[in-house]
Amino acid sequence: MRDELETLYLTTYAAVVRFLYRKVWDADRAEDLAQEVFVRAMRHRPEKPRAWVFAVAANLARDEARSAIRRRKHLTLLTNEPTQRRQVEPDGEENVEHDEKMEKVRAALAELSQRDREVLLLWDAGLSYPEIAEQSGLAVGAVGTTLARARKRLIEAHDRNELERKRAHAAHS
Amino acid sequence: MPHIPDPMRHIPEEELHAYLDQALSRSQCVEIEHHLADCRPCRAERDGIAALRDRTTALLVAAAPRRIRPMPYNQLSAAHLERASRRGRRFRTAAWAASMVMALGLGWGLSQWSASSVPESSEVTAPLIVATVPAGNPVAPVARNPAPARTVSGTPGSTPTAAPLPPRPATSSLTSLGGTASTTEPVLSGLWRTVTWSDTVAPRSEWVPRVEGVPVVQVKMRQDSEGGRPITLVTQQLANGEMISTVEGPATDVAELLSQQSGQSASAELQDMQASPHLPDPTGARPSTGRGAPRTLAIFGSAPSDSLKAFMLRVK
Repeated sequence: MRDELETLYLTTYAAVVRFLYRKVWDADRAEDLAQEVFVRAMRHRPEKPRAWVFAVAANLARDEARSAIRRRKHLTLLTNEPTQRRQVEPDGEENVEHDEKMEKVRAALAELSQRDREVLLLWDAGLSYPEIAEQSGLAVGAVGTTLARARKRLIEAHDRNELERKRAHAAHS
Repeated sequence: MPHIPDPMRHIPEEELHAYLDQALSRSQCVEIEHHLADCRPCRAERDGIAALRDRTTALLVAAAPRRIRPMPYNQLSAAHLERASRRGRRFRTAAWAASMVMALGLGWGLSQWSASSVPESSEVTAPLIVATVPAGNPVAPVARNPAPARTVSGTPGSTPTAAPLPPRPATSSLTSLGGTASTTEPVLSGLWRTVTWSDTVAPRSEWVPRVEGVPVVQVKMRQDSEGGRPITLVTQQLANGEMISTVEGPATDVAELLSQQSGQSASAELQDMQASPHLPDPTGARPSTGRGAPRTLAIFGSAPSDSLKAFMLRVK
């Protein structure tokens, strides 16, 4: 019989990686941090594991941003490890397209306020309104308002950037 | 979520977001659905928000790693166990190190305590070591007078000299006074004169009572009222910063100085000392301080009495 944490790991790991990726913008590092989150969960055995996992993930991502230089050194060490499991994939056409889309979304997310971005990412990770409220410090009733604003601003920023890119492309050609 | 009592009121935007996010209670959903059935603008608003929501989701999907490869749970669990084991080893090592440090600290503390508690009285109360010489020669090179070990010898009426004296019978005594003086700064009365070292030694070529090898800080002298050799007080500083003082002069003057310095208990012991055959006649009104009168050499300071005794033996 699977324990609660194992079930959470199987159902939530990908969401945690995505949540972290949208903060650190490095796939390998996001997976490292996600594993760290679940190893910590095994030690602490939290009462509300799903909310706890995302709270710890957010903290780790914050620490990560604060120590960017140290992180680069650590990544260098990891890259040199012989047990490195990841392989560099060739950049095919599909991957290039994915990267372009990703960069656009990254730019649009960067235009949101920190609170709007956090609430939006937590909602996308599958947290409920009360869980988002607890983690972000908002009232439950304010989560819908924040989400409404965040969604609108994300789409607006994305469409505006896209329009500017097209105009710049047209001007060049 | 707020209740919607008025069926004619349009549904706020954030409530439609919450409705589509399935964040409302069942009864709230029923109320919204009733309203939507009768309100075209709200239905249009709902469709717009649903499209916005879908677009947001589609954009965020693009902002994700191309592949996510979860480590098998048992591997992750093994990593956790390995880390816990490492932590346990670190904790045990730290606990061992802490216990060693504690044991060493305790040992050191106890040794300090015992060192400070046993000789405390002698350190704090500035014990006095007094060598009594029956007559004027205070030169007592004990190193050259090996037996008895704690005896300073002297000859009545002899002239002070730096030359070594031949061993003599033990005619003087070395006494430790458990005085109560709380300071090494002597209490001086009378006309004392501070003199430089060259003034002290060069013109007179006289012996100055002091512990060899210890820096001299100050030399003070008080002229004898009858024109005899003065009473000399030499203050020296030990390596630990403490001061010791060596005083040499007519026995009565030194006794008086020491009694001022030591308080009553020392005075009582000095009284006992004065009863000894090496000191002036206790029955006399005032002992003579001229040549041939008994002289006393004393050393005192804020140091263990054993140390002062050792210094006394080094006095030249």
